[in-house]
Amino acid sequence: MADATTANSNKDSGMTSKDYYFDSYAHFGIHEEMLKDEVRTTSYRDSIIKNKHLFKDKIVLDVGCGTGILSMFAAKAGAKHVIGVDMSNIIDKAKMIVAENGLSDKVTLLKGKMEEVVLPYDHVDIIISEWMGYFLLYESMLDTVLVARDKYLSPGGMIFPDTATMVISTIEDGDYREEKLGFWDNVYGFSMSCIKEAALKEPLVDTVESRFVNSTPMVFKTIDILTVKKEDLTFKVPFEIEVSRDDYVHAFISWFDIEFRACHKPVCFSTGPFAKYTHWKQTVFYTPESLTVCKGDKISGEITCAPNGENPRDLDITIGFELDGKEAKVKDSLSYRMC
Amino acid sequence: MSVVSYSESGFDTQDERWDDWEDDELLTPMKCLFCATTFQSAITLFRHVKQHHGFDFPHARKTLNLDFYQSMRAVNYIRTLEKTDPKFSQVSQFELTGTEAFLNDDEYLKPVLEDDTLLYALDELDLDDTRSIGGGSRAGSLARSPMVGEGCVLRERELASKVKALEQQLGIKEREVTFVTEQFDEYRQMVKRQFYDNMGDKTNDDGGKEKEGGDYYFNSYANNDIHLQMLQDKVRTEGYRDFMYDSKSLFHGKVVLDVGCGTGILSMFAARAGASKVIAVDNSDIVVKARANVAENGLDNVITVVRGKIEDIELPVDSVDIIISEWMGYFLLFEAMLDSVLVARDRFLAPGGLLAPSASYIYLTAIQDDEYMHDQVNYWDNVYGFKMSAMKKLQVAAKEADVDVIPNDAVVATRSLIAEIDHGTTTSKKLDFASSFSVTVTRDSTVHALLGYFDVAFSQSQAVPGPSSADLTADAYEKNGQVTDKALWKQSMHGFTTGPHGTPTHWKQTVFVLPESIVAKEGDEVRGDFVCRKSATNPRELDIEVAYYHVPKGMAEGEFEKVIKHQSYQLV
Repeated sequence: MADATTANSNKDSGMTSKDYYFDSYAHFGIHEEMLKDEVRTTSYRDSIIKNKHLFKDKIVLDVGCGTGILSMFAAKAGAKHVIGVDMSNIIDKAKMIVAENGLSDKVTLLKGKMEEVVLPYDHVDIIISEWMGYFLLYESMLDTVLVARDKYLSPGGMIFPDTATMVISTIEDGDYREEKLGFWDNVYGFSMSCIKEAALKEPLVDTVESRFVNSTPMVFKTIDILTVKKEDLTFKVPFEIEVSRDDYVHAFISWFDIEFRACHKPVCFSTGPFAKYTHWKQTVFYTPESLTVCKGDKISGEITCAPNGENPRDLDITIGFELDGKEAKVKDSLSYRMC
Repeated sequence: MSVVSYSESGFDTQDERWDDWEDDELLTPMKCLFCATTFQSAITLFRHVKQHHGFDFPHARKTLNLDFYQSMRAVNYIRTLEKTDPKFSQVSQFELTGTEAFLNDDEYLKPVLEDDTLLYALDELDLDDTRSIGGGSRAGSLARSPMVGEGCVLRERELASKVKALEQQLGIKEREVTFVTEQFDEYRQMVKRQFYDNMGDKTNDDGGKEKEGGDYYFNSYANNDIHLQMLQDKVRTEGYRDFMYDSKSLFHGKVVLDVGCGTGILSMFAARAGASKVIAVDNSDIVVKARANVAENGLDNVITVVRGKIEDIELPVDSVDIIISEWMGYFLLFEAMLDSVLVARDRFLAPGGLLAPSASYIYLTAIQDDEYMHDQVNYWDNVYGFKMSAMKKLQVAAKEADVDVIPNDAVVATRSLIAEIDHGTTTSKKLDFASSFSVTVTRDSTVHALLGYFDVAFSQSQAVPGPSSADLTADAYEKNGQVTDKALWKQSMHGFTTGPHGTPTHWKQTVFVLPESIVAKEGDEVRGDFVCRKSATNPRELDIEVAYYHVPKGMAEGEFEKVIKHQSYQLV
């Protein structure tokens, strides 16, 4: 997951509970999880190490460098100089790691906000960054990557990765839904429907088995990192998916795919249920009622996604949909908040 | 001790000085620390000690940074050993780690030998160390006295006045230490107050926008997932439920306070158990949901949900009969919620009232867990071709205790009770604790880590808050770790364990990876000291220090080479 600290300013000078919170991102856990996510890390490694011709003698900027792993890949791929920037305390460890691997002369690590740090170069040839959050955009660092791009990337420069696509589908999820949501109907003899309602409004980040997917996945948003603008990340887009078997729909799910198109031979990976596990898992949006669907039924609608007005860290997501099916006709608009 | 060869170059100048002194001066001979041999100079004495008794005192003093008083205590301590152990003259290996208790025990400032000239010679061992103390009259300067006979008298006088000066200085130093300790405690209290007050202010004033204020702790509990996780922890929730439902005569007609009520589940159990009134307090957004839950289950005539900090809040009653609270954090004390319960107890609990749970216990055992070591420690030796030693939880700069579920078959030792907390009588201060421990290895193994976990007890009466430590350490009480969480408690007392032998809970266990694994045989022991205190920078965190050593099977203290290792940990 993207390191949220880089994307957020910390105006307080004293140590407050907020600092403890942001500091928690410097803890090992999240970085360990990310490194041990082999799909993620080997995709980055392959895109960099297998493209030495692209990295040779280039100036590379690693936005939100974390443990420094991507910076070290770039150094190994022959970069002339790699600048890693991160705002979290993890960068202190990254410095030790870079030194331990004898790459201190090739990799320079700077602690601070992308907007504020002073790079030793006016321009860089390549930006590498692992900025993706849950649902691609939740607590993502893409904003920071765009700042770095607009400020430092040379004309014709490359960004690794350069394309992200967001996908939607539906699932049958009766058992698990019961466990997660039905639980609140009978909590050791009590019912807690207010928590159930709240739980319904929070998308659930979890792994979904591919056999539960019961409609054709559809790409609803494509992001070209080289050209996208910050305002494009607040969007309202249509979608239409086709049910693939007679079944029940308990939830919409979403995931994203990532591509490194700049590579000689494109490298890509998916965080979807048909691909290998990643720490991003999938994002599940439960519907209040299950939908009875038949093969060939169409579910169409619109997805909106915007940062929450009060807390821009949170993401407001709305799925407006219409099922015009053989068995059931349903029209609804479901609001969720990732927080 | 890391025995390094006697650094001749480092002592050159002093060698000259001592040679000088040896030639000119006839001192009372100094007796060796271990045997009966006597010497005219400290340097020859310590050379002998190093060669014959395997103890490089000047080196130890230098590397451990022992000050004059600590050196003095060390000498007197060793002399005490020598007096009590007839075989002490044969000692061929001895070492100091710098953390021995006697180094700071003023008992050992008293000379063991009458007129122990070695003590005065210590002054000369390291000039940098002593320049600031003891006035100008060094023994060395006496060497220049032309009149030896008078010199002796003079010397005695000077030494007497010097001892007096030292004693005075000691008194001053002690007062200073006390003062600094007090100041530090005050500072800590202040930090703690500010920390909580900060949260409180924002939480109370900002209404719906609290999340923006960054009240991470309180608000993270407003998140549904955490409550789901806690409620679905059956050991925890059923532990509370069974106690209350099985104690209906106890709860009947009582006024109950629920500290940190969360979703309100414990309050609802108490109401169903017959309480006449339940006051549920929490300082997070969750109270809104707790209220809705209480109303939905028709218990709003019994349960009142109040938002606020227990430190400031006013209750609609003068006192309560029972305080229920699920305050336990990782390793019991992480997140310091018990402090709030103690405040509630002192402010509101009627005399003779009950706390549920009534007592808690922290244990230490030892594990060999190859899988854990592979995943958590050795992993960092090769991360996609790179080394990341900095990411290891155990290294000099950062040492984090880890929270993980450890399988029971990884446990390779008996357990040792290191803290026993009576919730009725303990104080916030006492929650910083120090304890010695001793675990006996139950099979030949490589001990990778110490493992901490806790049990809680629910008693019917705070007069007997839980099983006694004698009960808990009795062999019959827990056989080979093969007990269920229910069977843990004798009599009819309720409670549960978070140990690896019980059903896993959301508290898991706490892993303290040792800096060096111990290769141990069945019957060997790992002994040591365990110190746990709230972090000065964030009182919700814990600073832990462990000193431990390996005791071969059947060996008494003194019969084996005692190598004490130290490691500090943080739970953050």
